[in-house]
Amino acid sequence: MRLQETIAFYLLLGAGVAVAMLLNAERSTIVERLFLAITASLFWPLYVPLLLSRPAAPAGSLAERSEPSDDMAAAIAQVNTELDAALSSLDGWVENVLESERGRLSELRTALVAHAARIRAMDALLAGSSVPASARPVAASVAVGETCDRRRQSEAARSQNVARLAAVRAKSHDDLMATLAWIRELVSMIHLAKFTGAPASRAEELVAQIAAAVEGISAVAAGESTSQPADGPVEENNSRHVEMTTPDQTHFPLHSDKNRSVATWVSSNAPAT
Amino acid sequence: MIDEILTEPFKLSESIPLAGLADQYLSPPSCDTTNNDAMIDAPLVGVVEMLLKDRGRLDRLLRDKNEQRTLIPRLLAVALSGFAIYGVVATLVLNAFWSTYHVWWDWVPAAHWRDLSAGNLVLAYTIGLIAANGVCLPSFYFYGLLAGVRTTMLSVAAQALKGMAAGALALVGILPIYMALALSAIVFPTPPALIEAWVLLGLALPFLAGVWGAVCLYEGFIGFADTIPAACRQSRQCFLRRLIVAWCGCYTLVTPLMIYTLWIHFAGMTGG
Repeated sequence: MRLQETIAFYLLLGAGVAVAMLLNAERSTIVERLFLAITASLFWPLYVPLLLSRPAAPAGSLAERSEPSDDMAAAIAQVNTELDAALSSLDGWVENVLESERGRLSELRTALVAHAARIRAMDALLAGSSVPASARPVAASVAVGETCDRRRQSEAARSQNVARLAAVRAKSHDDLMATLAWIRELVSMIHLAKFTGAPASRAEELVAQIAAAVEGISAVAAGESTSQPADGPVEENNSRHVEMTTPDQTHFPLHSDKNRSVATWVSSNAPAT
Repeated sequence: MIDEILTEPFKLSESIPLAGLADQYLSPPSCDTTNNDAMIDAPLVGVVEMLLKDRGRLDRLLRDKNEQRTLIPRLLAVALSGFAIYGVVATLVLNAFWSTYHVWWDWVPAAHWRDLSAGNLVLAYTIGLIAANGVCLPSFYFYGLLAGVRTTMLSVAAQALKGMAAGALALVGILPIYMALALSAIVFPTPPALIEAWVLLGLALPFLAGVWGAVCLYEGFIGFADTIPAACRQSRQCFLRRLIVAWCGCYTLVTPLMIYTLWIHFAGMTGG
């Protein structure tokens, strides 16, 4: 088959793809439709994935289309907005760090959304559970017998597991909110560093700390996923006291064990005072 | 063992003196992100601006299935415009050399501005560059699958077009420099070898600008590494990087063949 025949078949297929694209085109002007028809005829291999993919959801607000609208989604959206504003305000000040941390910052956004999705999944499980989240131990059954004892023990264990799941959910939620607050804090420090004439290295540290928050989220998620059911009640935590300095060397305590890896990173990289 | 539960909530306002200062610098946050990332009704110029100033945002938009449908034709329009501009300029330069020195090289197919072959170079480069992208697209998709990336053919096409559009913008950016060099060869007496070198440089310009397009493609596609399972992400990411480079090399080999074949064919059709 010579080139002419190949081109003829190619354009024939292109015509079919162009017709399909025109039929699918919504809210398009005449110029856009003309462009679509010509380019789909000539470059139909690029348009075939468009045709074969699932049709797009009806256009709407970003919140409606993408994530559930709850307090976590709103908080994450708020933090993303502030983070975008802070990073764009740097305006070439620490371009090299922004470039090098681009992947981790993107991963951080994804990790926050994934963390919220985990919490929603736990919420769905707890809502579907017949035993309330604050389940009390099952009252002793009046029936006697080995079977009743086993059933009672199983139900008691199930209640305990649900209670633990609720505790894990609460901790996850607290971790997420604390991480978001941490990111907002760092964002505010970026703004402060920029307007107080701090050296570029401070902004670089702050951007790196924000990017490092993704490791904290991953560590928290890994810690939750490797949790083993306890035989007894949940033990209280001994809070760790970690100091951190602001760009102007102000010391303040960080009473939190919410995000160990981030706190550990900060304490190990805090500038000498 | 369930991990410890937070006993005290993290009190930002009490423990962090910067909280009050932050409020002075930050306006009340808005949760409305519809105007930040949504691009359904953004004009073509918006896409060009994002390619030049905010490729991170463009990468985020290109990962949204709804935005891909809107952005793919616009990225294609940017690429076509850039390559068409280049084709016109390259045709003018070739014919200017011919008018001044009465030289047309045997290895350069016809693209004379006085006959039907005037559009040969424009069509060959415009169609060839984009058609080569379409030819190499399935291999790009399979390379991604090999690396363990969870993506769709549509996402791969979007990223490839983004790289092409970025390359087209870079090409338009360096065209004035090339024109200045070419005009100097027209105005001032120039040895034939140097003229041929300028012609060769002009015809190779899309491939030089394509390096920038490849960089943009790499930046966008490497972001898909977050879809690789965490257990093997570290090792697979290195493999993914190499596969992206390999695909760029494959595209670089296919494109000149495609362009030259089309140019020869168009020259035969127009009697050149």
